[in-house]
Amino acid sequence: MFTFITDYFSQVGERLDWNGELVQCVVFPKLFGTAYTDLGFAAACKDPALSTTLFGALGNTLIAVFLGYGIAMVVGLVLAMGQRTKSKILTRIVREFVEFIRSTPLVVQIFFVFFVGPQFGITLSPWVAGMIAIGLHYAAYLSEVYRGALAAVPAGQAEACIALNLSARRSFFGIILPQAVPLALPGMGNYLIGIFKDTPMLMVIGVAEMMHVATAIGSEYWRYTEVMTIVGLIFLALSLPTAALLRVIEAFVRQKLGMTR
Amino acid sequence: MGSKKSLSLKPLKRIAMGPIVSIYEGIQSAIKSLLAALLSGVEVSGRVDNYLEFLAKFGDRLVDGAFITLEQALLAIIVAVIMATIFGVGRVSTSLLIRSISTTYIEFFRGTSLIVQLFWIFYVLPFFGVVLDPYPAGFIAVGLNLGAYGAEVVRGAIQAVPRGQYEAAYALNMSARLRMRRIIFPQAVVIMLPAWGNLLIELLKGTALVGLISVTDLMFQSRQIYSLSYAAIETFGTILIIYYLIARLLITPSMRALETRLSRNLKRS
Repeated sequence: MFTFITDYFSQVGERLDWNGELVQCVVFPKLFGTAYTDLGFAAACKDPALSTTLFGALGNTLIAVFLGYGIAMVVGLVLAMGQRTKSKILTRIVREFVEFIRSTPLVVQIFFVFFVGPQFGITLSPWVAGMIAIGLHYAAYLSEVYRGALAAVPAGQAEACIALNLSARRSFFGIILPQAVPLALPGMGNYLIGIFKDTPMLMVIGVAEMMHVATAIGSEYWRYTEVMTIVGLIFLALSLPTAALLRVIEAFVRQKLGMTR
Repeated sequence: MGSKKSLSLKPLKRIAMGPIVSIYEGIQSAIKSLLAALLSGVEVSGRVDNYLEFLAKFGDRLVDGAFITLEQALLAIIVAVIMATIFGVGRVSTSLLIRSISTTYIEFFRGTSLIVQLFWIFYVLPFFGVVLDPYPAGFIAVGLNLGAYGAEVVRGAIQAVPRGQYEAAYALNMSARLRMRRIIFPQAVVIMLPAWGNLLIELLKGTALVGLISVTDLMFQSRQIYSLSYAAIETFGTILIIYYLIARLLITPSMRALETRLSRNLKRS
């Protein structure tokens, strides 16, 4: 891709550097109009090491997505069940906690988790802190999805369980939860894509995901155009098909379970 | 290059009119002096020993940051509402061209993350001859991003207006434009308001990212304060609480009030 751009659309030109010196650069007349790239960057573009770095970072991003989502799914279920207990106080506390997490920015939460630990003698690595923060943040969102889905299971099901004298655990895990899963799928799919789009925030504490590497490359060569555009395109190329795929899976599960609407 | 035009919007307080500016600055300085009066007995030493000392030392910065965040949020709301209206209505247009332009905008901004868009607008647009200061770049990026989400909300609300309303307007021989303006859109506004309440909280959270391109908002100030004091729990805890209070005491109640105000005229029998 880089080779294609530099070979077919570029020519060497001159321009003023950002500190006022005349430098040689590569011009992209057809592709970007008046966009410029230093020769150093063009050389780096042709260097396969660069693309591996950016795509290696894509791997890190995906690891972050799946780790964070795994934490969020489990903790989210705990938070949702915490709001279904008989204890009014517990319900209230969990409710406020979820509301608090949902209405404060993820970046600040990441900072909070990362920097508060050392004050009490617990030093967390950027990865651990980032996963805790992003996992908790999305756990709050997923708990709302679960809560809605659990509430949408007809009340008659719970009553039937009582009538059949099933234990509380068995009626929840055997009867209520399986029926809530297809109802929760659309929301869960949306937040899977949401967590993918929020992983760049991990760059603020130095997790080497895509955006972190992209800004590092950008600041090294003082050229942000190409890397930022490529990162944007990677995001688009992954999130749009995933969204389409999730719609298909959703429809399949609904059909499989014989649910109309 | 040559034609690098610098679009430099001054902060809200400079573009707004005189009396509004003085009221705005008055509120800001009033809060600061109230804080100073409350904490007048606290001695400020080099190290931060307790929370009051922390507030006395960094309270001004926190107030400044909170107001910049509010400005950014307000300007981003304006951008988002305009974009959402244009492209949400465009999404249900009969013209294929307008519909596909709207879909492209929505899918593009919903498909990539806000940080990427923010950095793209701030770092990449200069290569295309548009140089933005951090301040306008911040609220434009946040506004465009949330505008795309809002456009989907607008589209859903327009499609949720009962079919009979379209038919009645059609029977009264209204043009498509008049029908949208007089009949459909006002009813759609009432339907979409609850969803906008959530979106505005998302928007407020989004403005926390503008600190990354050095807009001096709450998040930016929190990093500065942390690097000066190394008091993590005080700094980031306070910032989190301020964001929470803005969301819960400012955005939620005003959306509630707007809802009751607008649905008053549209009582369905």
